[in-house]
Amino acid sequence: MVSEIGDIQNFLSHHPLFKHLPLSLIEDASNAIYVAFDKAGANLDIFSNEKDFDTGLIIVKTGSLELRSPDGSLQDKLSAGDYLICAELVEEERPAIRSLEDSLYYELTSPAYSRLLSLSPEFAQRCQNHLQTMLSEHLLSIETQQPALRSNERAIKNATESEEGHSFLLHRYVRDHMSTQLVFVEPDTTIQQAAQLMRDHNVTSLLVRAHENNETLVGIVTDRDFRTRVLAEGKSVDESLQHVMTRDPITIAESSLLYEAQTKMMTSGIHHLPVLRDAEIVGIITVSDIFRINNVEPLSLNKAIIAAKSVADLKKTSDKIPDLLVTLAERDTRPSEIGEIITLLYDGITKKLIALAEKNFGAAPCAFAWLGFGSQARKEQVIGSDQDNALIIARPLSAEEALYFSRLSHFVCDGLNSCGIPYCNGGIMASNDKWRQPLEQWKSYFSTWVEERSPKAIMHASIFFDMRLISGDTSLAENLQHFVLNQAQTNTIFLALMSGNALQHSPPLGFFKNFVLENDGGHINTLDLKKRGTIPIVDIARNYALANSIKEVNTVARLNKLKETNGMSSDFATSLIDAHEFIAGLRIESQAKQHKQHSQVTNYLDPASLSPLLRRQLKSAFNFVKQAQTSMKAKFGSGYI
Amino acid sequence: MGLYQMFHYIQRKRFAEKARNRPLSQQYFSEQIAQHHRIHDTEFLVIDCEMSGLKASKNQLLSIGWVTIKNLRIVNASCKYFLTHSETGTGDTTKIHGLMESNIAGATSIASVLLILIKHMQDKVLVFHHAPLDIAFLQRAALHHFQCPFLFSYIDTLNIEQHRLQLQGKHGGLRLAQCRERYGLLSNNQHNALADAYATAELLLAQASYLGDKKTLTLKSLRVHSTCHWKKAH
Repeated sequence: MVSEIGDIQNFLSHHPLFKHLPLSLIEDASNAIYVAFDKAGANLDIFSNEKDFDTGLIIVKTGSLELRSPDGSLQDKLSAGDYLICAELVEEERPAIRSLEDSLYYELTSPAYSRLLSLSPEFAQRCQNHLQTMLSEHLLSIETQQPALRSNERAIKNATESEEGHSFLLHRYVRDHMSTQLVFVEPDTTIQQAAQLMRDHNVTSLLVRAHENNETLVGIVTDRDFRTRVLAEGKSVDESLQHVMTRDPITIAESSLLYEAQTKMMTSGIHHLPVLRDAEIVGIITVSDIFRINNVEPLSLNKAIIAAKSVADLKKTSDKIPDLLVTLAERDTRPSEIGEIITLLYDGITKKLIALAEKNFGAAPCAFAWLGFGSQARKEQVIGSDQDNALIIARPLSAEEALYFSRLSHFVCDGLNSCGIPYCNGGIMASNDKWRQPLEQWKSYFSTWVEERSPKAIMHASIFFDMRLISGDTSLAENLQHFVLNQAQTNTIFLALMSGNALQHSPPLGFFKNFVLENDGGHINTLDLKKRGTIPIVDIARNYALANSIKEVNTVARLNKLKETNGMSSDFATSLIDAHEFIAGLRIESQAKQHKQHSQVTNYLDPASLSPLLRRQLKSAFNFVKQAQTSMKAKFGSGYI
Repeated sequence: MGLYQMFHYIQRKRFAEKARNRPLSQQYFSEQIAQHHRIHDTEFLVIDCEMSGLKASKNQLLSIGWVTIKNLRIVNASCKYFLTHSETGTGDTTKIHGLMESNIAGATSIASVLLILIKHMQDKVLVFHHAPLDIAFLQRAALHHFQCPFLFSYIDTLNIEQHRLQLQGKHGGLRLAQCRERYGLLSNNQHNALADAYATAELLLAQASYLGDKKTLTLKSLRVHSTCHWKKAH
């Protein structure tokens, strides 16, 4: 018989749930697969006992399936590549499954599913993540009816969060973190020469090959060996390495997961593993490589900003920020933390520019406050966020004094632009005369906007709710903020208008319906993660914060405060935070990828580039945002009067 | 007695004594699968052969692939694929199948492949796309090696499709890829006996799904046939 790599094996080795399995387990899985077909509208007999096997998992190959709860409500849709873990459903929870179009799907038997769970920790982890998403989706959909169930969800969530610490090792590969700087020596090299080589190449280990022309690995020698086998035993440094090296060292494949490397090192008590691609040595991974992955140090950039002496210095430093974003994203830093780190750096740049301006043009004639709006105020800046800023001046100015502030503002805004924070399209910048005014003028602006009630006026007014002092006089900024919050809170019509304004950006749900039913993806456009994803959540948080006179400006901080003060139900707020973190995370990841590929960094994402799992999660996050918008509308009313 | 039973009866009468105590005896001395048997409870063996030409009298079997269907599901682990010996050259179809004479070296002898096939056929209904061609080659090989032909029930997905189009008053291509396309099944570029058997199996599942309720469909609705061979081997 001739062996064949079948379609199914091929399909599995590209599927997100299976692709990380070793070939032997993929073969096992494909041998336990049954293929079935149902025409559009037919009911599937997955849970029927009229067949020889129990189904552990179904995966859609082509077409799409619809799942309905026993009470008839729509639970989910599965399209090509999506899957349902039947084995984990208790009998009462089993959905009715119907095919929406002609569908070909794979059933993996229940024993095979259990075998994979026990043999591959990564497979188990992926299934666990999937089930958790399903569960939160399910619980969200019944939130209003059964609040009691929600504590379960939290319990599961807390349990998985505490495991996050090592789960990152489950998703990372040796090849991405190994060092490729290899230094080879021969067995007859002396200890002295070896130590010199280590020093010259700044490495902690040397690979010992059979001959100069034969790269077969015969041993490894590390700095620790010198300590324990040379110094401690009083050996001469003229002896050859073969007496102190470790023979036939343990190696690891470059496609292995980091946790496997860690386990290998721990169980054998070693600190270095040569890394193989097939039989060839391509790198080495050490204990400290694994430790370093979690170690984030963005503060060196901040130091450079503080030390900068010119706009050119600042620009040099700010050019490195996209690299930092890539590093942070690769280290799985929380999106809200990344936003804070980036904002911190941009704040520093702004402050430095103001200081440089004061050095160039002399001290200011009176007190002033430099305000940041929008994402800078909320500490949610990303690469490419534009500048939104304004200047409050303590008192009305003479013409000469006005010129001073104009020059200062232009200097700062131009400087920001050259540091990668582009000018604001809407002209909301201190360099614009309108946005550089005495305190009293700001107050009358705001009152006029609230009175006027035109969409544009509301838009302008809303800017002032996301406002933060970046540099200058604290009391000026607080005075204005206090005034603004007071005005807004006493004006219920204003809240309704704001809510209407917020509903202009809705999550793209129709988009996903298409997504479920279309296989080719040819006519799917890209998705604006900022406009469609983060802005709606930011708007919701702002409106609820206003209604509850919460001063916090950062979206996550607002939601946490709302949770504390019961301004929003605790689960609602938690889910919004999760949705925000998830979408912001996707945006950062996509930006990091764009930067790595040297393409322009944007807020756009091609949904086709997402794995089915991420697509599902994004879909459920959007679904939740939509629900939240609906309840906001119910609470505050909407639209213009 | 319908044609289905009659064909079976005629061939059995003709060859039963020849088959006794030979590899094919079980086929001749067990009950014919009934036409009203539910397809949900029927096991199918979907087969595709590749030959060096279209004439069973002149050309050879080059390879054979099969897969089983049980409970209306393709059993992925049951896939089998064999290259068979050829005494003469590979003829004209080498280009279509990408099979070269060098590939055929190291192949299994036809007799041993047929013995394995006999074991897998037992109690199953065979499935082909364009059955007469494959059956002609199989019967010729069986007569040559065992002095009597196979006796089995089979369905032909081409025949099912042809009938369906007639009922709908439609015209359309009947090649495997064309039939599959009407059910939204994608064609793959692989073109060997196993891939084609697999593709035929998927087509059968799709056809069955369109013929009615899977739970109650019988073999009759799949237009089941019986072989009816009464010519002796020469």
